[in-house]
This record gives sequence, C-alpha cells and structure tokens, in this order.
Amino acid sequence: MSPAVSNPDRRAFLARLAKAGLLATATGIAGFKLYDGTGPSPSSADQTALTLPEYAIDDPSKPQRRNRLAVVHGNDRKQTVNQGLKALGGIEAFVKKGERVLIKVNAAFASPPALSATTHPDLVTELVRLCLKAGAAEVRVADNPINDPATCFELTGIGPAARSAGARVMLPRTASFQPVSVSGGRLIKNWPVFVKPLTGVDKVIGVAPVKDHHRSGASLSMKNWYGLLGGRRNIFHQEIHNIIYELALMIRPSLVILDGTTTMMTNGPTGGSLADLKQTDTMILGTDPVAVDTYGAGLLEKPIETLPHIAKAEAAGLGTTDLDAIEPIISNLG
Amino acid sequence: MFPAPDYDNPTSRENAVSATNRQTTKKETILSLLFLAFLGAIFLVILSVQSRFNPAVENFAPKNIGTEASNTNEPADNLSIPLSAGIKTMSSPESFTPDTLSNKINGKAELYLSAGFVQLQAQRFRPIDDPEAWFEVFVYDMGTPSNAFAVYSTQRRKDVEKLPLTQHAYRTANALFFITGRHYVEMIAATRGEVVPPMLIAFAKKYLGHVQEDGQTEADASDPKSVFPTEGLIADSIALIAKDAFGFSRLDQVYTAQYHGPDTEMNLFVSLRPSSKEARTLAEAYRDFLIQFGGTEVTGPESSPLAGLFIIRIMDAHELIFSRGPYLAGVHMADDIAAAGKLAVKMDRKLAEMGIAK
Repeated sequence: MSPAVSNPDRRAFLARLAKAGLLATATGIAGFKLYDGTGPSPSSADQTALTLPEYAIDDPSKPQRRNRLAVVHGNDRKQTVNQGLKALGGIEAFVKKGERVLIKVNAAFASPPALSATTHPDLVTELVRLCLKAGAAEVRVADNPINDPATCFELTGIGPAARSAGARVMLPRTASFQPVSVSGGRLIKNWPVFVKPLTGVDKVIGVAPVKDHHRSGASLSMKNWYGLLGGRRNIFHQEIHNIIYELALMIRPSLVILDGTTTMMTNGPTGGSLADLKQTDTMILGTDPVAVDTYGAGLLEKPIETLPHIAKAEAAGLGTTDLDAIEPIISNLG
Repeated sequence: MFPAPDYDNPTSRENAVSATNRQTTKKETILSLLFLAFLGAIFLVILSVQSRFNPAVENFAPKNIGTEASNTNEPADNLSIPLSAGIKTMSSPESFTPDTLSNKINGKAELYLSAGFVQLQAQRFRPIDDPEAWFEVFVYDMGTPSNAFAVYSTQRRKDVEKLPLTQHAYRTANALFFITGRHYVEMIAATRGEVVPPMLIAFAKKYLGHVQEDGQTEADASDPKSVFPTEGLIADSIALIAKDAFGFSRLDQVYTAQYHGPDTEMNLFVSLRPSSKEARTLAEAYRDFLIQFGGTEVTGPESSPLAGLFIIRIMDAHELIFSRGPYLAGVHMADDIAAAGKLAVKMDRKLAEMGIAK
C-alpha cells in the first residue's frame, strides 16, 4: 500500500468523490424517470391555460328571456345610456355595492373622438359615474389598442375621461397577459389574453362604437373583445369571423353597450374622414350580445347574412338574432 | 500512484507547488475547447429554438405592445416635411412595412396589402397655437401609381370637394386625400373648422414641393380609365380593384365605373389582360365561378344584345360578362337586365372605336 492511501486528505477526497458520484447517479436516475419523451399534448396545454369566468347576469340561451335589449334614439350619449339602463332595470341591476367593474372600451387607434373609431369619452365618463354611484368599489377601464396604448388612451380622450370620473385606467404591460383557452375553441388555445384588468372583477361591461370593418364587415360588440387579445393577433384576420365568434365564447359580459350615435358607415375600422360617418342617433344596450349586434348591423345597413360571426354566435347559444322574440324596449328621446 | 507530499521537506513542498502551477497539457487544452464548443452549440440551439417562438407568446415583450418606434422592421425614413409656419411636430415619425401595417390600421391593412403596399410613414403635427387641431399624415408607398390609385379610388368619399393639388385630390370637412406618384397620402385632422382646410392644404403643398424636389413626379395612374364610355358616367366614380374583384381570386386589376341607369345606378367594369385569349378564358372562368356559387346562365333572346356575352343570374341580380380583344368587361350585379345589356353594348362599341378587334 502506498503512503498516499493512509493519508487522511486522500481518504477525504475519495469520500467526497463517492458522494459526488452517488449524487450524479441519483440525478441521472431522477432525470430518466421524469423525462417526457412525447412532450405536452394539446389537451394538457389547455389545462394549464386559463378559462375566463362567467360575468353574464342571465342566460342568453333562453329565448323566453325578456328585457335583454334596449334601444334608445337620441343624440346625447349621457341621456341615451341612462334611458337604456333604466329600461333594463337601472345600473343597479348590473352593478352591486362593493363590486369591481371592468369597462372594456375600444381604444384601438390613436384617433380623435370626432372620427368615431373608438369609444366616445362622454360615454366612458357617464358609465364610470353610474357604476361608482351604484356603489362599485372600483371601476377599471382597459383595452389593448392596436397603436401605442398610452397615446391611444390620451388622443381618444378615453384616458382623461375615465380618470376624471374616478376610474382606474389599465394599460397593457408585459405581465398583464396570460395564456387563455376557449373550451371548444380552435383559434384561442393558449393564446395570450389581457387578463390583468379582469383579475378580481365581478362585472364586465363592453362599450363599443358601431363601425364598418374592411375584413369582418362590421365592428360591433363582439368584435370589441378582440382588444383583449395579445400576441400576433393580426394572424386572425384570415379567420376574422371565427375569431370574433370565439371571442364571444371566451367572455360572457354582464352588459354590452353599442354606441350608434354616430356610425362609421364606410372605410372602417379606422375611417379618417367625417364623410365616413352618419348620424344614426341610436344607443343599444343589452345582455344578449347577439341581439345587440343584430340591431347594430341594421345601423350599418348590412344584412346579418353578410356577418357570419353573428350566426355562429347564435348557433352556439350566445343569443338570438330574432329581435321580435326578445321584444326590445325601444324609446325615443327626440 | 503519486507519493504523498512531505510538507516538512522543502524539496517536496517545492515539487508540490510546481505541480499545482504546472502548464496545462495540449490534450487538456483540446478537451477544454471541445467542452466549450459543446456548450456553445447548446447555446446556438437554444437561440434557434427561441427565434421560432410560439406566436401566442411572442408579443409578450413590451416593445410589441406598441411603442411608436418599434413598429418598423427597417430604419424609418423621417417624413422630413418642411413645416409650414405655425406648425410643429406632435409625435415621432412611425414607419410600417407589410409585416407591421396592421399594427397601425388593423383590419384595413388587407386593403393596402392586396394592392401592393410597400411602406407607410405616418406622423402627427399640430398648430402651435391650437393643440386641439392636430392632424396626422399618412404616406403610403404603394409601389406604383396604379396601386396608389387603387387604394385612393376604393376609399374615395362621396360629396367631396375636388382639389387641384394633383390629378387625384379631394378634401372633406376634416381631411385631405391625394395621390402623388406611387404614394397615396392622407392628412386627417382631429377637428373640423375654418382653420383646418387651409392648414391641410398648405401642408400638402409643402409636402408636394418636397417630394418633387426629391425627383418624384406624379404619373397618371388612370390611363385605362379612358376606355369607359362618357355618356351616363357618374363623375369621380372610377375605381380600381387591385385583387380578388367581386370575390373571384383570378380577377385582378379591374377598373369599375358607376353609370346612371333608368332606375338605379349600374356598375360597369373592364380589365386589360395580357392577350385576347386570356381575356376570353378569364371571362369563361368568371362565368363558371358564378355558376359554381349558385348562378344560372340566362339564355334566349335577352342574352343576345352582344355576341359572346355571358349573362348570369345570381342573388336576384345579373352579371354580364364579355371580352373584346385583350379587354375583359361587363356589368356587375345589374338589376335591370335590358339597361345593363345596352351598357355592355356601349362599352363594346367604345372598345371597337379604339381599334380593339373582337
């Protein structure tokens, strides 16, 4: 035996070597046991993605349900939205004391209010005021615009209007998105959605202008949810009607408001000229997004057959295109 | 085995020290380099995989949520418009390529992309003394004057004031639209009012002077317009559909014009094809396309105002299609078949007068 074997340093070295070997072996075995050669399957991916909770206050699939749609004619948004809410039971029918409310606006473009490409700030102001008056603990106003978010919220007037009325404006940040999947959906699978403003809210109100849209034919209340998508969402333009339909599946709002005070009849969704607009003096409110959009399509003078996403949403039980069946409450403020 | 160093022996201690400070062998160096190369290869594989990231999460990065400077794949050319007196810039210039155009105009991007869009430059400006009257300038480089005419004409508003700025220019209460060379330009103000039109016109003149200095001249994009008969033609109704005209993917570069009819307006169309044979083949293909989607071919006396004319009844309207020489022409979705037949004959005669043989 060489002198080195009896040396305590060498013994210690060999002991450490043995321990390291055991650790490496254990790690290798653990890695082998845990190795997933096939990778995650689509179904297991779905399980990791979020599904948005239900915000609807009634079931639009029930055809006998009434008071689902209110239409008010008039050119003063403050008056028409108040009248419409009154017809549906008042803001208290939608917002309870202490609840948190998200108002999902359309702030897609850095465009002035006069062009009606975005939700009108007067409507935002009044809705925030009404929600707070009903006792809402917090009102959030949010969208993931096409253009730079901060610029969009400022130039549309939505940001200043919301803040001055007491709402919290939530702009998209990197951490604001989480993957969401829609049950039965083909396009929205593990897709990043602007979830942050929805976190912890009790009610969701969608507020959109009535617009022509080059790709989808119309931009109405269901199309408004496109503003919750993140990622390279423009790839969905190739399947525009399917994505609008899946967005309607993804989120069931408490209330939708379609502002047809001024309708963008041509060159949507951006418009650009006041010549693209028509004074249609109509505010549409409802719990049935299909019915609301059916009425909105009429303002655009487009048959609903040319807007397949509406029929798809109806077939999925999200509402009805049979406006007579739900007896819209129509009023005229002159 | 190595003998254990005897640290009480100076010679042994020196040997041990020299052993720890010894030069690495060539073999060890090669092995180390191989390990480093292996790690480098792993790093490159990770980079490669990351570059093909799932589009669902690709835009999580804040830069893609929408900062103005991030919307371009290429260095932005500043609009560099010499500013009129009293006007100042309100935002940085933005530049958009075909890949990023939808980041600016979303659903309208397809209109431009299908017409040969190359690049958009946009910038906001405002009067120094009136911040509310800001306006945004969009300069679409469409590649050719013809493509610029396509996007200009298909978006042309009704009841507008024509302007003598260029051959194709008009204004509305808050905006100004024109073509110069291969560029389609929009100047859109946030408000209407007396100050807006002169402000935009002055700005447009500055811009036009600037681009002409750069050697760009306006070309007449609308030469094929001359084939339309003038009788009954509604002024400023000629438009160019660059692609997928009437839903038929093979039908491109189609000029359309509105005509006064007995009761309703009629839509005459014409497209110059590379040869007579191609024009005829395309006319037949378009007829077949309509039949495939539920149309029925009308035969009998009413179908013969013109030799070789196809009349397809579809969706309670009539589509009339014919060709003369390299021109494919017709009347789109006509309510009145007799009036549409007369219009088709008029179009055919005009082509004949131009020396186009059947």
